[in-house]
Amino acid sequence: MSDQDYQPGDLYHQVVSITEEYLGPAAPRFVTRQVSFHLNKTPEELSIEDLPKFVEWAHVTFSLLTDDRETVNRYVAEIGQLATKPWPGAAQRNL
Amino acid sequence: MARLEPNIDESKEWPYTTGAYIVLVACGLAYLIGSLLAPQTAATIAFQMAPAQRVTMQLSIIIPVLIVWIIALRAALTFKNYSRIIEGSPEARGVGRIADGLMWLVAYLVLTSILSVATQYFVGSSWLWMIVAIKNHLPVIASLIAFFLIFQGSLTLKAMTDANNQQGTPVWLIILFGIFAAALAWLFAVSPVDTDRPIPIYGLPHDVNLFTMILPHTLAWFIGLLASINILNYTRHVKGLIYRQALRRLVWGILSVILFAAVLQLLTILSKIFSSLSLGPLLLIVYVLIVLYGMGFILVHLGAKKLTRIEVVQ
Repeated sequence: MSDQDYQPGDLYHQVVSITEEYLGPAAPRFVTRQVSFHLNKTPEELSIEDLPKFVEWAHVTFSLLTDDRETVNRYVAEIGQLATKPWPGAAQRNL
Repeated sequence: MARLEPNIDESKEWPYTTGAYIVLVACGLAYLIGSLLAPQTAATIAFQMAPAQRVTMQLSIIIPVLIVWIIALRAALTFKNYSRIIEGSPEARGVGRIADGLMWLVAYLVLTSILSVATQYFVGSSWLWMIVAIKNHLPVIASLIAFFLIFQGSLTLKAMTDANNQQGTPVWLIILFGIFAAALAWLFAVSPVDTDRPIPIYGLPHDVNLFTMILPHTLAWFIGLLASINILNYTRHVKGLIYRQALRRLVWGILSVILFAAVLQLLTILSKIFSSLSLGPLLLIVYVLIVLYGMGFILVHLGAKKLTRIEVVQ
């Protein structure tokens, strides 16, 4: 993928895509709510720097939705991996 | 580091929630008082009970029935509120229709009980046959509307899943249901009409009831069955581990509500057969049905509550 392919909101879509595996059609609403309530940002403004805080809150909120610790840890790990993923052009575009 | 406290706002209520509870309480009081003050009940006549025995037996049925009413309304309202919370989403329309259907099933539950009591006030009156006919047919209408709405909602949800994965209704199930419907119609057609009862079972001529009661009931159950299969297919193919868990609870609740609504209707239709039973087994059947019906609505409530939590947790 080239730098030109990246658009604002790409990270948000990645987070939604992972969350969909757990929350199905409720995923976009869940992620948008977390981003807006805890990060005071719009989905497009979600950046790599926000991920640690997002993960922290995701851990808390997911624990309220399931008693299965393994599921919670797996979700948090998958979101956390986005922070270590190479994002071409991320520095320039503040992804 | 400060402990993170999640925010859960489950306050988005359907605007008619309070009104629905007021109507239910009014109906509950009418049912309770109406039952206790009824001049002549089928049970008193059939089982020749003393007044104290009669009140005890009535209360042992009325109180659990009222509890099931409350559970049913609470479940339907939780689901209704959930449909309001997800308003604007692709699945909102389907969920909204199913919620409306559940509200009609609550109406069916209330109508069946209240109208049964009402008939007791018309024993010996020339209006009795008409009241019995209304008692038999009004719940059929509520049941048809309920299952039709649930079916409509289920179609919308089914359409959201990948068309390649969609499964149709199994042919063997349609054939099995056809055999059951034919057997029921035959059983009804050949069963003798009991004209000695102070309160007749059917208000209209026997043959007419076949078309105005039995067939619409059978149609309602068939629609309910198709709706259940659609919802199950949606649950199987929709994404989301936690979402599916919550949805599955809800689906089993809806399935058992549909099933026990059908069994309840079936028992009413075949009440001639059960009228020969003694009080003990008869009460046992009533209690088992009440408990299972209530459990179905409890599952609906738990599933809807979990789905709501997914939508509101912050």
